[in-house]
Amino acid sequence: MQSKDNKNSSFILFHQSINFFFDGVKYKGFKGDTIASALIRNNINFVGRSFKYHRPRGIYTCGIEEPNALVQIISEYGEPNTRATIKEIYEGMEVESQNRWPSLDYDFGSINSLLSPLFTAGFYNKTFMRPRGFWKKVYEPIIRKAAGLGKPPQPYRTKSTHFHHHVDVAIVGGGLSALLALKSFIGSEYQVLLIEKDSNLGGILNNSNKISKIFGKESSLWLKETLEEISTSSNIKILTNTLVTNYNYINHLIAIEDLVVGTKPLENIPDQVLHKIRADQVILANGHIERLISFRNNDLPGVMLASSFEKYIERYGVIPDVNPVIFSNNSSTLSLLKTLVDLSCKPQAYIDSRPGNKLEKDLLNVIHENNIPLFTNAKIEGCQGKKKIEEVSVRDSKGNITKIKTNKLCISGGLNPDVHLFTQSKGVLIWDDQYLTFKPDTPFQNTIVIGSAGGIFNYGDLGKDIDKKLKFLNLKQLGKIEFDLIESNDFFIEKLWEVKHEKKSPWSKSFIDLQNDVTTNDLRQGIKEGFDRIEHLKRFTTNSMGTDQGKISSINALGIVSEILKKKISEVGTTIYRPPYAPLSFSSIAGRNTYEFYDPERKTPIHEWHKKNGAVFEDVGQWKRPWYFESKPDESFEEAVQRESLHVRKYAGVLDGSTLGKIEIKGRDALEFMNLIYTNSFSKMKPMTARYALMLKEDGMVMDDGIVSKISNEHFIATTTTGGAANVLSHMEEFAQTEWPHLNVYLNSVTEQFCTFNISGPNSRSILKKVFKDINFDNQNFPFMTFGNYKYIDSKINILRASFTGEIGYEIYVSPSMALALWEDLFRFGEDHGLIAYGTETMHLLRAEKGYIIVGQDTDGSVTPYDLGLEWMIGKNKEDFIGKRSLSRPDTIRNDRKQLVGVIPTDKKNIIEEGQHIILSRNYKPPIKMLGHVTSSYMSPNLNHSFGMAVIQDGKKLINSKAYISSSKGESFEVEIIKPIFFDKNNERLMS
Amino acid sequence: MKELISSNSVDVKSLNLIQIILRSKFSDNINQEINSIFKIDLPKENLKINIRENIICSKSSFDQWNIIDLLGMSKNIDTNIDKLNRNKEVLVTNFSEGQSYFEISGENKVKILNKITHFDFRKKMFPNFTSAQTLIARVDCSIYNLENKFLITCNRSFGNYIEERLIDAVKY
Repeated sequence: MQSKDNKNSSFILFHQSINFFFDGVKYKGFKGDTIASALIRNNINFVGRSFKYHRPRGIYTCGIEEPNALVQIISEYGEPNTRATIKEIYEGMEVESQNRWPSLDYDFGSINSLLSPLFTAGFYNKTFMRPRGFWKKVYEPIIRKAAGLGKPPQPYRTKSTHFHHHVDVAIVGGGLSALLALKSFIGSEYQVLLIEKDSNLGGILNNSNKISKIFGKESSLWLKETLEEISTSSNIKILTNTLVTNYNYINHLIAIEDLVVGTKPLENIPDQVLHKIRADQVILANGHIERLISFRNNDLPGVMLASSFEKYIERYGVIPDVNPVIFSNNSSTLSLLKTLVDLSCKPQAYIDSRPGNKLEKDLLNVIHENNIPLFTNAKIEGCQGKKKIEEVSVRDSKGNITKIKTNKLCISGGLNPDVHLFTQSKGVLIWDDQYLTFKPDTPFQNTIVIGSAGGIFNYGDLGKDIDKKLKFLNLKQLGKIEFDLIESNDFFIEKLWEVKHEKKSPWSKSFIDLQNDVTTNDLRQGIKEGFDRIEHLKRFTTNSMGTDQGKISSINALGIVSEILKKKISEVGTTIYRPPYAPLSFSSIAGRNTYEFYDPERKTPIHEWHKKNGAVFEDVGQWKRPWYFESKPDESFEEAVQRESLHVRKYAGVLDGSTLGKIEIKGRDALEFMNLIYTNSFSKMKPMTARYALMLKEDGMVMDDGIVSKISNEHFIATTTTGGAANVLSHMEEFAQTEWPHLNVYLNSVTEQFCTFNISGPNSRSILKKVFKDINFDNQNFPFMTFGNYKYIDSKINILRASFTGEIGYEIYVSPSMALALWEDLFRFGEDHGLIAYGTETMHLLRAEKGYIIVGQDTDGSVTPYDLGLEWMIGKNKEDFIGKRSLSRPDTIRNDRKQLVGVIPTDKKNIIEEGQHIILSRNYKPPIKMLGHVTSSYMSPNLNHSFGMAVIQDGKKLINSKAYISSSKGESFEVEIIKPIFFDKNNERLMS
Repeated sequence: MKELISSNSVDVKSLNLIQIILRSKFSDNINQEINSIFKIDLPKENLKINIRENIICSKSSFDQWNIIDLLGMSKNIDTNIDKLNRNKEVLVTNFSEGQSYFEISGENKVKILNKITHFDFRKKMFPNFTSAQTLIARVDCSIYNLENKFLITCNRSFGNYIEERLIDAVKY
């Protein structure tokens, strides 16, 4: 039989034809068609292969609940697993079927169908256990290759964006009940956001002819007037083509909006918006989903849910088949029957599992008036056909089988409230004996469920129910709503989850979960094997898993399980419907946070200069810091660092140290505060001098270090490590505010208010003398660890004599607006003195030659100042400081703790690497005692050999002895353990 | 001032402003000192902004106020800071150059910001002449509601990134 256009549908623009391709063949559809409706219009019903058995599959539904018709959109970077039932076509769209090779008709994988008696539930778990060695090299690669639906899309740059909403009320769904609720909010004080997945509001009014009139008006007219009325209300915002996929905690909804419905996505134009919605109150009006009935070959192309069949007629203007067979167990199929008859289409048969005397009078009238063959108390036992239905077998109450030739079978197994979002919100469900389904009962959040989503299938109750549930918001009351209905308000359903089939062949299958290829026999087998808890059974059989989450089948599965276990369905319970409701692409989740926006970047004011001068950057937190500078294009990292290190020791170098944390501390009690925060004592320190300072955690372990500059007893500036800046400030704030609120002290981060340039090397003084002609940099006037305030052009600068390289050096603090000018001045005047810019790696190497630690590299949160040999930094006479008590614990004072030492290879050809273990014996047979590990190591161009710093057990005692370093190659080499200072041991260069 | 983008009923500008941060307990004395220099009172209510001509003063925590010159013209700012800092019990810091400043105005200003921040811009949550600290494009920012425009500040090092994100949000 053939499909036929229903030109009465106002949603399809029949005058606007559209060409698209399916599996390389060109077809014609109309503007407004989905891929599915367009394929049906072209009599294409076979659209894909199933997940496991590669069985032929067709279009089963007409919406997001589609389990079968998942396709790949080639013209959109090959986006896979797109539901053909919701994606609109556009001119030139290229669509491919999935899970088949080489073609849909001749699929190599369909051999799985022949082997299907082997692939029962738990097949993978049982089969691939043995032989054990096969797993990695045989089973896993094969399974990985076979797994998944569709092919990964091509890489492309996402164009989707994000949008955040804060509203008083969010209404999910745009159907009849949502619109009724929305009418109550017109002109109210509440900001309301309604989110509808379709491009049109109205739901059942567009998809079915169930409701002919509302308040005496044609339903389409009532809808038009209602939408006009709503559009005048400024407090209401409506999002169409937007699907709510997640209901998170605190009424937080995630929804995805398709901005390119019916058009090809364009370069640089956003195609999707991920909406993040926070609402005070969520109203779920997301309707219901029809469920299937399981019977033999109920997956053949041509089987379709009855309400979907009707939706194709009403909403998409295509009658999928003019003479279908209808099979139902409930009252809901009357409207389909009537729609077909009104369009002069006569169903071949109407099969109802209910007894004849229980059928609705209206239903019987239509059937009799149109001479439609009726089978009551009868069931479809199975379907026959290869790639489509060719025949159905009807079994009557006496067991007689009647065969009917047909290509389309419409089935209805009952209606389920769409409870996925409600359960995501942790709401509790309750079993409804009248409608044989679970419906929302107790919300966990501020959730109201209305309409069929709440289990209200009787239209007469709709207005009253909405009024009751929204009463607390003090809105306009809807009162009783007058409906003229095609079908009776008294819904009647007979329990029917599965029809037992006649054929005993192991290849005959009655499916419960079409997307995951789970059969009713799989459920039985799972229970037989002991998986009698519904959540266990779900995982053993994969029923209701994946992106489908059993939308059209989960209740049937519960029904079947309850019968096997001889329990009530309410006792079996439900599985948890997992978010997202429908798949979201990673690109929509990422939004604009990709490529250059992947992570926020922090740049110093000299960043562009660095880029122009060959800097290779490293990430330090979010900062971009020059790691090293390439002096020529083919210079390697190692070559650059060796060159820079030699050069700084010989001439001069400048480092952009702007990223170092800087904290201003001021207050009447600032001195006491600093004495408590740091281990050092600042009491006797003279104003305008500086000191290397150490900060401990309460457990006595080193937390951070830096230079503290004392302006006065009431005013200090402290520097911190780049990575530790934020932590140190909050640590100080916490103690100032909570532990020592009696102290008058205030803190401000001034990290970004100043740029810092660290110039060091033998020529650094000469360079600064040229740049700052008025400042006397001689040793006597400007000794080590002193600082002063000066002027540079029109701005204030500070210069501190300090060094992290061991060379004579200065730190210049300058405002960002003058930073580049000063930096360039340094080079202008420094050119003759061999000044170069150097990166963080050279800084690390030079400081290690001097044995200066880096917190976080040479420490790991378990190192005390004593372990580092920094006992000289502890103010012995200080009454208290953070960590003081912990430094006298037995564990922190024992001698055999891991302590910082220096290591150099006896044979200077050997290279020490960071992370290598120090062992006492050359013998390299495990188990072997590890003394500790190398924390820093470099190839020194100044020493001409490799060296390292290490923390090793009882390190201080082992100084001047030998040990061994184990390499990853399984060898060891001898090293000398020395004091951790390798260069200019008497600080002559530093103090020169 | 630099116009970054003007499109879709939104204008985004980057500004060079003068800002100081005052850390202190509230007292009539310190309020008078501030008033004598900037002719503005310190707000007592948290997150509230006082405004006088081109000067705004916001209270951003129990012991912190931000004073911003919206025209960036305050003269002798360092002298004034030094003067205020003579009081040993307060800390006044020049923050002008440590921050980047952006002005967002136009009918769609909230719509654009909603793309890059989860912050709730509803009038009842963020009334005129209040300020807040929040994440914009995952960067810690302060935002000042100046009735017909928003002033956004962030650490200077993030300035380029925020500038690009704002332009991107207007474009897409």
